[in-house]
Amino acid sequence: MTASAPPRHRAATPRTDAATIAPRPAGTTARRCRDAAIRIVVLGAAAAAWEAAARRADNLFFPAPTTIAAWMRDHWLGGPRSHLFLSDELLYNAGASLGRMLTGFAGAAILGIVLGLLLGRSRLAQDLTNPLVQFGRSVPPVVLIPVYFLLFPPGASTQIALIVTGAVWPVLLNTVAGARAIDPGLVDAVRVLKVSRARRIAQVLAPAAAPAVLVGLRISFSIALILMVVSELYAATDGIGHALISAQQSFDLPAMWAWIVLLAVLGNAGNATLAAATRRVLARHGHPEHQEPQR
Amino acid sequence: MLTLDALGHTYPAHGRASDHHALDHVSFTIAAGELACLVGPSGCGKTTLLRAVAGLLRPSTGTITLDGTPVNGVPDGIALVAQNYSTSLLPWHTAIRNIAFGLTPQRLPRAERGRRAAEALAAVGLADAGHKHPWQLSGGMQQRVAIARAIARRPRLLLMDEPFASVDAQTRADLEDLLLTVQRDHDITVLLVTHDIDEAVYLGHRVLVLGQGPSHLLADLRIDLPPHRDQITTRKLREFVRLRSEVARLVRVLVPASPPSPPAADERSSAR
Repeated sequence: MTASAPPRHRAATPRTDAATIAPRPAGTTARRCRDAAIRIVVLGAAAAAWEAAARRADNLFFPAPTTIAAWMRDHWLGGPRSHLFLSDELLYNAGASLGRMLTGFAGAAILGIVLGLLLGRSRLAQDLTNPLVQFGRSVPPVVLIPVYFLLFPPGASTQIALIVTGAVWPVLLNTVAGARAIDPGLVDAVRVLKVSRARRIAQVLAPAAAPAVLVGLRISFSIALILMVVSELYAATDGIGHALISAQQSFDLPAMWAWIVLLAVLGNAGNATLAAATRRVLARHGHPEHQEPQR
Repeated sequence: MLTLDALGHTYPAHGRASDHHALDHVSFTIAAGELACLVGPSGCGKTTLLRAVAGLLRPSTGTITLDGTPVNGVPDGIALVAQNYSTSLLPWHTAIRNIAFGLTPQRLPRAERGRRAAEALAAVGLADAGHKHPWQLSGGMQQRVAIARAIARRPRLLLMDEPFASVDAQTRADLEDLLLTVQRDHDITVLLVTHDIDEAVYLGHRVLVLGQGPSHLLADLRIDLPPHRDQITTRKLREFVRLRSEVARLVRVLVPASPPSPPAADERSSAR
Protein backbone atom coordinates (compact mmCIF):
# COMPACT_ATOMS: atom_id res chain seq x y z
CA MET A 1 0.00 0.00 0.00
CA THR A 2 2.46 2.63 -1.10
CA ALA A 3 2.84 5.12 -3.89
CA SER A 4 3.62 2.31 -6.28
CA ALA A 5 -0.06 1.50 -6.61
CA PRO A 6 -1.16 0.68 -10.15
CA PRO A 7 -1.66 3.72 -12.36
CA ARG A 8 -5.19 4.95 -12.54
CA HIS A 9 -7.07 6.70 -15.22
CA ARG A 10 -8.50 10.11 -14.83
CA ALA A 11 -11.54 8.81 -12.97
CA ALA A 12 -12.17 10.91 -9.87
CA THR A 13 -9.83 9.82 -7.11
CA PRO A 14 -11.53 10.23 -3.74
CA ARG A 15 -9.45 12.33 -1.35
CA THR A 16 -9.64 9.78 1.41
CA ASP A 17 -8.02 7.15 -0.75
CA ALA A 18 -4.61 8.56 0.00
CA ALA A 19 -2.77 5.33 -0.59
CA THR A 20 -3.53 5.05 -4.25
CA ILE A 21 -2.58 8.46 -5.61
CA ALA A 22 -0.51 7.17 -8.47
CA PRO A 23 2.25 8.86 -10.36
CA ARG A 24 1.05 10.36 -13.65
CA PRO A 25 -0.71 7.56 -15.54
CA ALA A 26 1.15 6.10 -18.48
CA GLY A 27 -0.02 7.29 -21.88
CA THR A 28 -0.89 10.76 -20.67
CA THR A 29 1.90 12.35 -22.68
CA ALA A 30 0.61 10.85 -25.92
CA ARG A 31 -2.88 11.93 -25.03
CA ARG A 32 -1.74 15.45 -24.26
CA CYS A 33 0.01 15.71 -27.62
CA ARG A 34 -3.15 14.55 -29.35
CA ASP A 35 -5.27 17.06 -27.41
CA ALA A 36 -2.86 19.88 -28.23
CA ALA A 37 -2.90 18.91 -31.92
CA ILE A 38 -6.71 18.94 -31.96
CA ARG A 39 -6.75 22.36 -30.31
CA ILE A 40 -4.37 23.76 -32.91
CA VAL A 41 -6.49 22.33 -35.72
CA VAL A 42 -9.65 23.91 -34.27
CA LEU A 43 -7.91 27.27 -33.89
CA GLY A 44 -6.53 27.05 -37.43
CA ALA A 45 -9.94 26.13 -38.82
CA ALA A 46 -11.55 29.09 -37.09
CA ALA A 47 -8.90 31.45 -38.44
CA ALA A 48 -9.32 30.00 -41.94
CA ALA A 49 -13.10 30.41 -41.74
CA TRP A 50 -12.67 34.00 -40.57
CA GLU A 51 -10.23 34.63 -43.43
CA ALA A 52 -12.62 33.22 -46.02
CA ALA A 53 -15.63 35.10 -44.64
CA ALA A 54 -13.71 38.37 -44.41
CA ARG A 55 -12.46 38.09 -48.00
CA ARG A 56 -15.88 37.25 -49.31
CA ALA A 57 -17.54 40.12 -47.39
CA ASP A 58 -14.78 42.57 -48.30
CA ASN A 59 -15.94 44.87 -45.50
CA LEU A 60 -13.70 47.67 -44.23
CA PHE A 61 -14.67 46.93 -40.61
CA PHE A 62 -13.75 43.28 -40.74
CA PRO A 63 -10.26 42.96 -42.21
CA ALA A 64 -8.97 39.47 -42.96
CA PRO A 65 -6.63 37.88 -40.40
CA THR A 66 -3.82 38.01 -42.93
CA THR A 67 -4.33 41.77 -43.26
CA ILE A 68 -4.16 42.13 -39.48
CA ALA A 69 -1.08 39.93 -39.36
CA ALA A 70 0.55 42.02 -42.08
CA TRP A 71 -0.15 45.16 -40.07
CA MET A 72 1.40 43.55 -36.99
CA ARG A 73 4.50 42.60 -38.98
CA ASP A 74 4.88 46.10 -40.41
CA HIS A 75 4.33 47.95 -37.16
CA TRP A 76 5.45 45.65 -34.39
CA LEU A 77 8.50 43.97 -35.85
CA GLY A 78 11.72 45.39 -37.22
CA GLY A 79 13.19 46.64 -33.97
CA PRO A 80 16.82 46.15 -32.98
CA ARG A 81 18.11 42.81 -31.78
CA SER A 82 18.38 44.07 -28.20
CA HIS A 83 14.60 44.58 -28.23
CA LEU A 84 13.95 41.05 -29.51
CA PHE A 85 13.22 42.64 -32.92
CA LEU A 86 10.12 44.29 -31.53
CA SER A 87 9.30 47.85 -32.58
CA ASP A 88 9.26 50.86 -30.29
CA GLU A 89 5.56 51.38 -30.98
CA LEU A 90 4.74 47.96 -29.53
CA LEU A 91 7.18 48.08 -26.64
CA TYR A 92 6.21 51.59 -25.63
CA ASN A 93 2.46 50.95 -25.50
CA ALA A 94 2.50 47.40 -24.22
CA GLY A 95 5.22 48.28 -21.67
CA ALA A 96 3.22 51.22 -20.31
CA SER A 97 0.04 49.13 -20.03
CA LEU A 98 1.68 46.06 -18.57
CA GLY A 99 3.69 48.09 -16.06
CA ARG A 100 0.58 49.75 -14.68
CA MET A 101 -1.50 46.60 -14.81
CA LEU A 102 1.05 44.38 -13.10
CA THR A 103 1.73 47.00 -10.41
CA GLY A 104 -1.99 47.27 -9.74
CA PHE A 105 -2.45 43.51 -9.82
CA ALA A 106 0.45 42.98 -7.41
CA GLY A 107 -1.03 45.60 -5.08
CA ALA A 108 -4.42 43.90 -5.20
CA ALA A 109 -2.82 40.50 -4.60
CA ILE A 110 -0.80 41.62 -1.57
CA LEU A 111 -3.69 43.57 -0.07
CA GLY A 112 -6.18 40.76 -0.71
CA ILE A 113 -3.95 38.00 0.65
CA VAL A 114 -2.90 39.85 3.81
CA LEU A 115 -6.41 41.06 4.63
CA GLY A 116 -7.89 37.71 3.66
CA LEU A 117 -5.60 35.72 5.96
CA LEU A 118 -6.33 38.09 8.84
CA LEU A 119 -10.09 38.01 8.28
CA GLY A 120 -10.10 34.29 7.64
CA ARG A 121 -8.77 33.54 11.13
CA SER A 122 -11.24 35.72 13.00
CA ARG A 123 -14.95 35.07 12.81
CA LEU A 124 -15.70 38.32 14.58
CA ALA A 125 -13.67 40.37 12.11
CA GLN A 126 -15.44 38.55 9.28
CA ASP A 127 -18.88 39.27 10.67
CA LEU A 128 -18.03 42.91 11.22
CA THR A 129 -16.56 43.50 7.76
CA ASN A 130 -18.92 41.28 5.78
CA PRO A 131 -21.40 44.03 4.74
CA LEU A 132 -18.50 46.18 3.57
CA VAL A 133 -16.92 43.36 1.58
CA GLN A 134 -20.22 42.33 0.02
CA PHE A 135 -20.89 45.92 -0.99
CA GLY A 136 -17.40 46.42 -2.37
CA ARG A 137 -17.38 43.30 -4.48
CA SER A 138 -20.86 43.97 -5.85
CA VAL A 139 -19.87 47.26 -7.46
CA PRO A 140 -18.97 46.52 -11.11
CA PRO A 141 -15.30 47.53 -11.23
CA VAL A 142 -15.56 49.57 -14.46
CA VAL A 143 -17.99 52.07 -12.93
CA LEU A 144 -15.12 53.18 -10.71
CA ILE A 145 -13.33 54.57 -13.78
CA PRO A 146 -15.34 57.80 -14.18
CA VAL A 147 -15.32 58.27 -10.41
CA TYR A 148 -11.53 57.94 -10.15
CA PHE A 149 -10.83 60.21 -13.10
CA LEU A 150 -13.20 62.78 -11.65
CA LEU A 151 -11.57 62.73 -8.22
CA PHE A 152 -7.91 62.30 -9.15
CA PRO A 153 -5.72 63.66 -11.92
CA PRO A 154 -5.47 61.25 -14.86
CA GLY A 155 -2.22 59.36 -14.86
CA ALA A 156 -0.45 56.18 -13.94
CA SER A 157 -1.06 56.37 -10.19
CA THR A 158 -4.79 56.91 -10.60
CA GLN A 159 -4.93 53.96 -12.98
CA ILE A 160 -2.97 51.76 -10.56
CA ALA A 161 -5.21 52.75 -7.65
CA LEU A 162 -8.21 51.91 -9.80
CA ILE A 163 -6.86 48.46 -10.62
CA VAL A 164 -5.99 47.74 -6.97
CA THR A 165 -9.45 48.64 -5.70
CA GLY A 166 -11.25 46.92 -8.54
CA ALA A 167 -9.26 43.68 -8.56
CA VAL A 168 -8.80 43.14 -4.83
CA TRP A 169 -12.21 41.54 -4.17
CA PRO A 170 -11.92 38.09 -5.74
CA VAL A 171 -8.51 37.43 -4.17
CA LEU A 172 -9.75 38.76 -0.82
CA LEU A 173 -12.90 36.61 -0.81
CA ASN A 174 -11.11 33.48 -1.93
CA THR A 175 -8.32 33.94 0.61
CA VAL A 176 -10.89 34.28 3.38
CA ALA A 177 -12.62 31.12 2.16
CA GLY A 178 -9.29 29.28 1.95
CA ALA A 179 -8.12 30.34 5.40
CA ARG A 180 -11.49 29.44 6.87
CA ALA A 181 -11.53 25.99 5.29
CA ILE A 182 -8.56 24.71 7.31
CA ASP A 183 -9.57 21.52 9.04
CA PRO A 184 -10.21 21.96 12.79
CA GLY A 185 -8.21 18.77 13.38
CA LEU A 186 -5.17 20.35 11.75
CA VAL A 187 -5.66 23.52 13.79
CA ASP A 188 -5.67 21.44 16.99
CA ALA A 189 -2.65 19.40 15.92
CA VAL A 190 -0.65 22.55 15.17
CA ARG A 191 -1.77 24.28 18.37
CA VAL A 192 -0.46 21.39 20.45
CA LEU A 193 2.89 21.58 18.65
CA LYS A 194 3.20 25.17 19.94
CA VAL A 195 5.11 26.40 16.90
CA SER A 196 5.69 30.12 16.58
CA ARG A 197 3.09 32.37 15.02
CA ALA A 198 5.35 33.20 12.07
CA ARG A 199 5.86 29.52 11.30
CA ARG A 200 2.15 28.84 11.67
CA ILE A 201 1.36 31.48 9.08
CA ALA A 202 4.15 30.54 6.69
CA GLN A 203 3.93 26.77 6.90
CA VAL A 204 0.30 26.05 7.77
CA LEU A 205 -2.05 28.92 7.04
CA ALA A 206 -0.52 30.16 3.79
CA PRO A 207 -0.05 26.74 2.13
CA ALA A 208 -3.51 25.63 3.22
CA ALA A 209 -5.07 28.71 1.67
CA ALA A 210 -2.84 28.71 -1.44
CA PRO A 211 -5.16 26.83 -3.84
CA ALA A 212 -8.07 29.14 -3.04
CA VAL A 213 -5.80 32.20 -3.23
CA LEU A 214 -4.69 31.20 -6.74
CA VAL A 215 -8.28 30.77 -7.86
CA GLY A 216 -8.94 34.31 -6.62
CA LEU A 217 -5.82 35.62 -8.36
CA ARG A 218 -7.01 34.30 -11.69
CA ILE A 219 -10.27 36.21 -11.47
CA SER A 220 -8.46 39.30 -10.19
CA PHE A 221 -6.07 39.12 -13.11
CA SER A 222 -8.87 39.26 -15.67
CA ILE A 223 -10.43 42.20 -13.83
CA ALA A 224 -7.06 43.99 -13.78
CA LEU A 225 -6.74 43.49 -17.54
CA ILE A 226 -10.24 44.86 -18.16
CA LEU A 227 -9.64 47.90 -15.92
CA MET A 228 -6.28 48.54 -17.53
CA VAL A 229 -7.62 48.67 -21.06
CA VAL A 230 -10.94 50.39 -20.34
CA SER A 231 -9.30 53.14 -18.31
CA GLU A 232 -6.87 53.70 -21.17
CA LEU A 233 -9.77 54.02 -23.59
CA TYR A 234 -11.17 56.64 -21.25
CA ALA A 235 -8.18 58.78 -20.39
CA ALA A 236 -4.56 58.02 -21.23
CA THR A 237 -1.79 59.26 -23.45
CA ASP A 238 -0.15 55.88 -24.01
CA GLY A 239 -0.85 52.18 -23.54
CA ILE A 240 -2.67 49.49 -25.43
CA GLY A 241 -6.11 50.95 -24.80
CA HIS A 242 -4.95 54.35 -25.99
CA ALA A 243 -3.41 52.86 -29.15
CA LEU A 244 -6.61 50.90 -29.74
CA ILE A 245 -8.94 53.90 -29.45
CA SER A 246 -6.58 56.04 -31.57
CA ALA A 247 -6.64 53.40 -34.30
CA GLN A 248 -10.42 53.26 -34.13
CA GLN A 249 -10.76 57.03 -34.35
CA SER A 250 -8.48 57.21 -37.39
CA PHE A 251 -10.27 54.25 -39.04
CA ASP A 252 -7.08 52.21 -39.01
CA LEU A 253 -9.07 49.06 -38.49
CA PRO A 254 -6.35 46.42 -38.96
CA ALA A 255 -4.46 48.26 -36.17
CA MET A 256 -7.52 48.21 -33.92
CA TRP A 257 -7.93 44.49 -34.43
CA ALA A 258 -4.22 43.88 -33.90
CA TRP A 259 -4.33 45.52 -30.46
CA ILE A 260 -7.40 43.45 -29.58
CA VAL A 261 -5.55 40.27 -30.55
CA LEU A 262 -2.63 41.37 -28.37
CA LEU A 263 -4.97 41.83 -25.40
CA ALA A 264 -6.32 38.33 -25.89
CA VAL A 265 -2.80 36.95 -25.98
CA LEU A 266 -1.84 38.78 -22.76
CA GLY A 267 -4.98 37.63 -20.98
CA ASN A 268 -4.34 34.08 -22.03
CA ALA A 269 -0.70 34.18 -20.96
CA GLY A 270 -1.62 35.46 -17.50
CA ASN A 271 -4.36 32.91 -17.06
CA ALA A 272 -2.17 30.05 -18.23
CA THR A 273 0.63 31.07 -15.84
CA LEU A 274 -1.74 31.18 -12.87
CA ALA A 275 -3.39 27.91 -13.92
CA ALA A 276 0.02 26.23 -14.01
CA ALA A 277 0.82 27.58 -10.55
CA THR A 278 -2.51 26.26 -9.28
CA ARG A 279 -1.79 22.81 -10.67
CA ARG A 280 1.60 22.79 -8.99
CA VAL A 281 0.16 23.76 -5.63
CA LEU A 282 -2.64 21.21 -5.86
CA ALA A 283 -0.16 18.48 -6.78
CA ARG A 284 1.88 19.36 -3.70
CA HIS A 285 -1.27 19.09 -1.62
CA GLY A 286 -1.92 15.66 -3.05
CA HIS A 287 -5.26 16.22 -4.72
CA PRO A 288 -5.79 16.77 -8.40
CA GLU A 289 -9.27 18.29 -8.27
CA HIS A 290 -9.88 21.90 -9.03
CA GLN A 291 -11.76 24.23 -6.77
CA GLU A 292 -14.59 26.26 -8.17
CA PRO A 293 -13.84 29.97 -8.21
CA GLN A 294 -15.83 32.03 -5.73
CA ARG A 295 -17.19 35.35 -6.83
CA MET B 1 2.21 13.60 37.18
CA LEU B 2 -1.18 14.39 35.67
CA THR B 3 -4.02 15.12 38.06
CA LEU B 4 -7.64 15.84 37.22
CA ASP B 5 -9.64 17.26 40.07
CA ALA B 6 -13.44 17.35 39.79
CA LEU B 7 -13.26 18.13 36.11
CA GLY B 8 -16.57 19.10 34.57
CA HIS B 9 -17.58 20.61 31.28
CA THR B 10 -20.85 21.91 29.90
CA TYR B 11 -21.30 22.98 26.30
CA PRO B 12 -23.68 25.93 26.04
CA ALA B 13 -27.04 25.24 24.37
CA HIS B 14 -26.33 27.05 21.03
CA GLY B 15 -29.79 26.51 19.62
CA ARG B 16 -30.34 23.11 21.18
CA ALA B 17 -33.02 22.55 23.77
CA SER B 18 -30.65 22.55 26.72
CA ASP B 19 -27.01 22.73 27.68
CA HIS B 20 -25.00 19.60 27.13
CA HIS B 21 -23.24 18.23 30.20
CA ALA B 22 -20.28 16.43 28.72
CA LEU B 23 -18.27 15.77 31.87
CA ASP B 24 -19.15 15.74 35.55
CA HIS B 25 -16.72 15.60 38.43
CA VAL B 26 -14.04 13.43 36.90
CA SER B 27 -11.00 12.99 39.12
CA PHE B 28 -7.97 10.76 38.67
CA THR B 29 -4.19 10.83 38.75
CA ILE B 30 -1.72 9.30 36.34
CA ALA B 31 1.82 8.56 37.48
CA ALA B 32 4.89 9.24 35.36
CA GLY B 33 5.67 6.41 32.97
CA GLU B 34 2.17 5.02 33.13
CA LEU B 35 0.05 4.08 30.12
CA ALA B 36 -3.55 4.76 31.05
CA CYS B 37 -6.47 3.94 28.79
CA LEU B 38 -9.73 5.78 29.03
CA VAL B 39 -12.72 3.79 27.77
CA GLY B 40 -16.38 4.56 27.55
CA PRO B 41 -19.28 4.45 25.12
CA SER B 42 -19.13 6.86 22.20
CA GLY B 43 -20.33 10.34 22.99
CA CYS B 44 -19.45 10.03 26.66
CA GLY B 45 -17.07 12.96 26.70
CA LYS B 46 -13.75 11.17 26.23
CA THR B 47 -12.57 13.58 23.57
CA THR B 48 -13.74 16.56 25.62
CA LEU B 49 -11.62 15.32 28.50
CA LEU B 50 -8.57 14.86 26.29
CA ARG B 51 -8.97 18.29 24.70
CA ALA B 52 -9.17 19.81 28.18
CA VAL B 53 -5.97 18.05 29.23
CA ALA B 54 -4.28 19.28 26.04
CA GLY B 55 -5.29 22.82 26.92
CA LEU B 56 -7.36 23.14 23.74
CA LEU B 57 -10.58 23.60 25.70
CA ARG B 58 -11.15 25.43 28.96
CA PRO B 59 -13.23 23.20 31.24
CA SER B 60 -16.25 24.74 32.97
CA THR B 61 -15.29 23.44 36.38
CA GLY B 62 -12.44 21.62 38.10
CA THR B 63 -8.71 21.78 37.58
CA ILE B 64 -6.06 19.89 35.66
CA THR B 65 -2.51 19.84 36.98
CA LEU B 66 0.50 18.67 35.01
CA ASP B 67 3.70 18.20 37.02
CA GLY B 68 2.35 20.51 39.68
CA THR B 69 1.41 23.32 37.30
CA PRO B 70 -2.24 24.04 36.51
CA VAL B 71 -3.06 23.59 32.82
CA ASN B 72 -4.05 26.91 31.36
CA GLY B 73 -3.66 26.90 27.60
CA VAL B 74 -1.61 24.29 25.77
CA PRO B 75 1.18 23.14 28.14
CA ASP B 76 4.76 22.75 26.95
CA GLY B 77 6.10 19.31 26.22
CA ILE B 78 2.94 17.44 25.37
CA ALA B 79 2.06 15.63 22.16
CA LEU B 80 -1.26 14.67 20.63
CA VAL B 81 -2.07 11.87 18.19
CA ALA B 82 -5.58 12.17 16.84
CA GLN B 83 -7.81 9.60 15.20
CA ASN B 84 -7.88 11.38 11.87
CA TYR B 85 -4.34 11.11 10.56
CA SER B 86 -5.30 12.62 7.22
CA THR B 87 -5.88 16.02 8.81
CA SER B 88 -3.18 16.02 11.45
CA LEU B 89 -0.19 16.03 9.07
CA LEU B 90 0.71 18.87 6.72
CA PRO B 91 0.14 17.47 3.22
CA TRP B 92 2.58 19.95 1.61
CA HIS B 93 5.47 18.69 3.75
CA THR B 94 7.24 15.36 3.44
CA ALA B 95 7.08 12.90 6.32
CA ILE B 96 10.47 13.93 7.68
CA ARG B 97 9.63 17.63 7.43
CA ASN B 98 6.34 17.03 9.21
CA ILE B 99 8.26 15.53 12.10
CA ALA B 100 10.92 18.25 12.09
CA PHE B 101 8.16 20.88 12.00
CA GLY B 102 6.97 19.56 15.36
CA LEU B 103 10.45 20.12 16.77
CA THR B 104 10.81 23.76 15.76
CA PRO B 105 9.65 25.23 19.09
CA GLN B 106 12.34 23.29 20.94
CA ARG B 107 15.18 25.56 19.80
CA LEU B 108 17.39 22.75 18.62
CA PRO B 109 20.08 23.19 15.99
CA ARG B 110 18.81 22.32 12.53
CA ALA B 111 21.02 19.25 12.22
CA GLU B 112 19.85 17.93 15.57
CA ARG B 113 16.24 18.37 14.49
CA GLY B 114 16.90 16.38 11.34
CA ARG B 115 18.69 13.66 13.28
CA ARG B 116 15.90 13.34 15.80
CA ALA B 117 13.24 13.28 13.10
CA ALA B 118 15.08 10.51 11.25
CA GLU B 119 15.49 8.58 14.49
CA ALA B 120 11.77 8.82 15.28
CA LEU B 121 10.89 7.75 11.75
CA ALA B 122 13.14 4.71 12.11
CA ALA B 123 11.54 3.91 15.47
CA VAL B 124 8.14 3.57 13.78
CA GLY B 125 9.63 1.49 10.97
CA LEU B 126 9.47 4.11 8.24
CA ALA B 127 13.16 4.91 7.85
CA ASP B 128 12.85 4.84 4.05
CA ALA B 129 9.67 6.89 3.73
CA GLY B 130 11.01 10.24 4.95
CA HIS B 131 10.92 11.89 1.54
CA LYS B 132 7.31 10.91 0.85
CA HIS B 133 4.33 13.17 1.27
CA PRO B 134 1.52 12.00 3.57
CA TRP B 135 -0.82 11.44 0.63
CA GLN B 136 1.67 9.00 -0.84
CA LEU B 137 1.42 6.83 2.27
CA SER B 138 -1.27 4.43 3.43
CA GLY B 139 -3.46 5.31 6.40
CA GLY B 140 -1.48 3.15 8.79
CA MET B 141 1.78 4.69 7.60
CA GLN B 142 0.40 8.20 8.02
CA GLN B 143 -0.57 7.34 11.58
CA ARG B 144 2.97 6.04 12.13
CA VAL B 145 4.32 9.41 10.97
CA ALA B 146 1.96 11.14 13.41
CA ILE B 147 3.25 8.90 16.20
CA ALA B 148 6.84 9.59 15.14
CA ARG B 149 6.16 13.33 15.23
CA ALA B 150 4.81 12.91 18.75
CA ILE B 151 7.68 10.83 20.13
CA ALA B 152 10.37 12.93 18.44
CA ARG B 153 9.29 15.73 20.74
CA ARG B 154 10.16 13.50 23.72
CA PRO B 155 6.92 14.57 25.37
CA ARG B 156 6.37 14.30 29.09
CA LEU B 157 2.75 13.43 28.30
CA LEU B 158 1.48 11.78 25.12
CA LEU B 159 -2.25 12.14 24.49
CA MET B 160 -3.90 9.80 22.01
CA ASP B 161 -7.49 10.17 20.84
CA GLU B 162 -8.72 6.90 19.30
CA PRO B 163 -5.39 6.66 17.49
CA PHE B 164 -6.04 3.31 15.84
CA ALA B 165 -9.76 3.57 15.11
CA SER B 166 -9.35 4.47 11.44
CA VAL B 167 -6.98 1.74 10.29
CA ASP B 168 -7.59 -1.87 9.31
CA ALA B 169 -7.41 -4.67 11.87
CA GLN B 170 -3.93 -5.94 11.05
CA THR B 171 -2.43 -2.43 10.97
CA ARG B 172 -4.21 -1.74 14.21
CA ALA B 173 -2.56 -4.70 15.94
CA ASP B 174 0.84 -3.62 14.56
CA LEU B 175 0.37 -0.05 15.74
CA GLU B 176 -0.74 -1.22 19.18
CA ASP B 177 2.47 -3.20 19.57
CA LEU B 178 4.46 -0.29 18.18
CA LEU B 179 2.98 1.95 20.85
CA LEU B 180 3.87 -0.55 23.58
CA THR B 181 7.47 -0.74 22.36
CA VAL B 182 7.86 3.01 22.02
CA GLN B 183 6.25 3.65 25.38
CA ARG B 184 8.57 1.18 27.11
CA ASP B 185 11.73 2.32 25.31
CA HIS B 186 11.17 6.02 25.90
CA ASP B 187 9.33 5.70 29.21
CA ILE B 188 6.58 8.07 28.06
CA THR B 189 3.47 8.80 30.09
CA VAL B 190 0.46 8.08 27.90
CA LEU B 191 -3.22 8.86 28.19
CA LEU B 192 -5.05 6.99 25.44
CA VAL B 193 -8.73 7.34 24.70
CA THR B 194 -10.54 4.47 23.01
CA HIS B 195 -14.00 2.96 22.76
CA ASP B 196 -12.51 -0.50 22.23
CA ILE B 197 -12.52 -2.45 25.49
CA ASP B 198 -10.08 -5.14 24.29
CA GLU B 199 -7.64 -2.53 23.13
CA ALA B 200 -7.81 -0.68 26.45
CA VAL B 201 -7.10 -3.85 28.44
CA TYR B 202 -4.40 -5.01 26.04
CA LEU B 203 -2.49 -1.71 26.07
CA GLY B 204 -3.08 -0.24 29.49
CA HIS B 205 -1.30 -0.40 32.78
CA ARG B 206 -4.56 1.05 33.96
CA VAL B 207 -8.02 1.31 32.51
CA LEU B 208 -10.28 4.19 33.45
CA VAL B 209 -13.93 3.58 32.64
CA LEU B 210 -16.05 6.60 31.91
CA GLY B 211 -19.83 6.39 32.23
CA GLN B 212 -22.35 8.31 30.22
CA GLY B 213 -24.52 11.35 30.50
CA PRO B 214 -22.95 13.47 31.98
CA SER B 215 -19.99 11.22 32.20
CA HIS B 216 -18.23 10.46 35.42
CA LEU B 217 -15.54 8.00 36.39
CA LEU B 218 -17.09 4.54 36.89
CA ALA B 219 -13.99 2.54 37.66
CA ASP B 220 -10.23 2.73 37.80
CA LEU B 221 -8.77 -0.73 37.18
CA ARG B 222 -5.15 -1.77 37.50
CA ILE B 223 -4.24 -4.20 34.71
CA ASP B 224 -1.98 -6.89 36.16
CA LEU B 225 -0.91 -8.53 32.95
CA PRO B 226 2.71 -9.42 32.19
CA PRO B 227 4.54 -6.33 30.96
CA HIS B 228 5.50 -7.96 27.69
CA ARG B 229 2.26 -8.30 25.79
CA ASP B 230 1.54 -10.33 22.72
CA GLN B 231 -1.46 -10.08 20.43
CA ILE B 232 -2.09 -13.85 20.55
CA THR B 233 -0.95 -15.10 23.93
CA THR B 234 -1.90 -12.12 26.09
CA ARG B 235 -5.41 -12.07 24.70
CA LYS B 236 -5.80 -15.75 25.64
CA LEU B 237 -4.83 -15.24 29.28
CA ARG B 238 -7.52 -15.95 31.85
CA GLU B 239 -6.77 -12.60 33.50
CA PHE B 240 -7.17 -10.75 30.19
CA VAL B 241 -10.57 -12.35 29.60
CA ARG B 242 -11.66 -11.58 33.15
CA LEU B 243 -10.62 -7.92 32.93
CA ARG B 244 -12.22 -7.52 29.54
CA SER B 245 -15.50 -8.90 30.83
CA GLU B 246 -15.36 -6.66 33.85
CA VAL B 247 -14.86 -3.54 31.76
CA ALA B 248 -17.54 -4.68 29.32
CA ARG B 249 -20.02 -5.12 32.17
CA LEU B 250 -19.21 -1.64 33.46
CA VAL B 251 -19.71 -0.09 30.07
CA ARG B 252 -22.88 -2.10 29.47
CA VAL B 253 -24.55 -0.94 32.67
CA LEU B 254 -25.26 2.25 30.83
CA VAL B 255 -26.70 0.78 27.70
CA PRO B 256 -30.29 0.09 28.90
CA ALA B 257 -30.56 3.72 29.94
CA SER B 258 -29.88 4.94 26.42
CA PRO B 259 -32.50 4.93 23.61
CA PRO B 260 -31.51 1.68 21.75
CA SER B 261 -33.68 -1.22 23.01
CA PRO B 262 -32.29 -3.47 25.76
CA PRO B 263 -32.63 -6.78 23.81
CA ALA B 264 -29.99 -5.63 21.35
CA ALA B 265 -27.61 -5.05 24.24
CA ASP B 266 -28.32 -8.52 25.66
CA GLU B 267 -27.68 -10.14 22.32
CA ARG B 268 -24.33 -8.47 22.16
CA SER B 269 -23.33 -9.60 25.61
CA SER B 270 -24.33 -13.22 25.03
CA ALA B 271 -22.21 -13.24 21.89
CA ARG B 272 -19.15 -12.38 23.93
